[in-house]
Amino acid sequence: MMLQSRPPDTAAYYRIAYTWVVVAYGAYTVALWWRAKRVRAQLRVAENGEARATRGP
Amino acid sequence: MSSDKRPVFDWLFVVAVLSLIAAYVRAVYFTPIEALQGAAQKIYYVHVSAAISAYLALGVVALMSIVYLWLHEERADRLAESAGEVALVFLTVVLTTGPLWAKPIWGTWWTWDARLTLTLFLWFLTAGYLVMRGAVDDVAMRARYSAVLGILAALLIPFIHLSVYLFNTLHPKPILLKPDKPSMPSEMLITFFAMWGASTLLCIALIGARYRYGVDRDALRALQSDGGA
Amino acid sequence: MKPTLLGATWLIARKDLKIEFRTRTAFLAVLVFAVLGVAIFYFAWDSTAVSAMDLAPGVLWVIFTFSGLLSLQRSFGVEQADRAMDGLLLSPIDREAIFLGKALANLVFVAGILLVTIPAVVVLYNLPFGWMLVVLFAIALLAAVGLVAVGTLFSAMAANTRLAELLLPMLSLPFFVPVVYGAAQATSTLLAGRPTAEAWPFLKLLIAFDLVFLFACTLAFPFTLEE
Repeated sequence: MMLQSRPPDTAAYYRIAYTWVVVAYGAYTVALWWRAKRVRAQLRVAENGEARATRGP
Repeated sequence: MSSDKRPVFDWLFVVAVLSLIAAYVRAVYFTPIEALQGAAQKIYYVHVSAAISAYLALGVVALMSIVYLWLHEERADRLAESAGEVALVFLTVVLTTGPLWAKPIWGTWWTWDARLTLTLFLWFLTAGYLVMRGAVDDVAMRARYSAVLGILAALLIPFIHLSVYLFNTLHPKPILLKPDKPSMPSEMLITFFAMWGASTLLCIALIGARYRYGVDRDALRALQSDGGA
Repeated sequence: MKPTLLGATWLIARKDLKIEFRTRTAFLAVLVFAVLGVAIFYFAWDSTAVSAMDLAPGVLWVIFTFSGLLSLQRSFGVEQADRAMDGLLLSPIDREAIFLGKALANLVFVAGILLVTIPAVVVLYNLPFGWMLVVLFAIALLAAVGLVAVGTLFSAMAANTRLAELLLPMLSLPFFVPVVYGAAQATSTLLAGRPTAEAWPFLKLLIAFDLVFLFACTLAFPFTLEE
């Protein structure tokens, strides 16, 4: 039976990869949240404008 | 067209994030390190699950493209756009984790193997899809163009795959360490499934969130163009 | 009287080629690009390390791809002036014929470029003359069909967008990959004197691509026009 040698130390790659994956998904989520917030605010303004315009005298 | 008053990030997203955390904990703390490859083998879990999610999202793009050309349903186009954007994110993860895995295992950052090469081309096609959408202002034309590109890109995939297959039979892979599909012990298999499930949930949740954002954005555009007219 | 599909295709192709023939600027520009490119490539490589004959197929197909792209850029630009496209669409011609006609014109254009570029490669890179020239040209024509089918469609689409010059290469190049790969491998196999059977899988890839995308792009073209 072959002697079991220790597995190679490739931990750096693994840590970088796992951190990066969280950063990537997180960054997209944050960007999406920020875009959504901005559009919702603009939409509220635009809809209020519409409501005022159609209300009439 | 009314805007969507539901929260953009819904309960599904929360579940997805929680399951991703759980999968991560399992992968990091409760999964053994593989003997031949060391800790880098664990990259496999996030890499492959991201790839499957990317293909899922792209399948949505292709399907919604056909649906749009057939039914002219604006919601199909919006769903395709959302899925395309999310696909690009997951494809980017695949293309970046791939080299991080390949370098310690194969000794090289890039290999022209089937999966990575196909993913590279899918990345360019998806980026092109999104850039094209950004460059067309007319809503109907944008939807039609996107649908055509989506369907043509789907037709292209088998040809890229065949090219890569021919290429690899011509240029055999390096014989260093060939950890193609090591049979995984059950602990690793469970971790893989956990990561795969979490990734799928995240993919679906993000597409949904991006879709709801799209509804709001289109409502805003409609109001602005009406006001400006 | 409505022309047949073939008749209309030929009409459109002739119109485009006549316009091009009158000015010839686009053709000459692409030609100069192609031949200069072939020459420049030679100096970019260490000719002691890589023999010219090994280099030649790669050079030919890279130049083929980029000069093909250049040719396509002008294809729909012609119709943009004076909204000439509307006139075409009002006529009783099948939309598919418009596409096929333009694709045919592009194919003739690219074939013209190849007629000069391939002999240039053969001469500058010391390839054997003879039947190899004909084989090269035949494979190049096959590749050109695929390139032109996809490129004409994307050229039509890109012309209506804000980023036309960026979009045409960005969308087309992934589609060119199976074409260029099949053609390049087939030619280098044959140039190395290997049996034809070895080149056959690559030719099959090329032919399959041509058939699928000629059909798909012809069908898709009407969808890219105003309804």
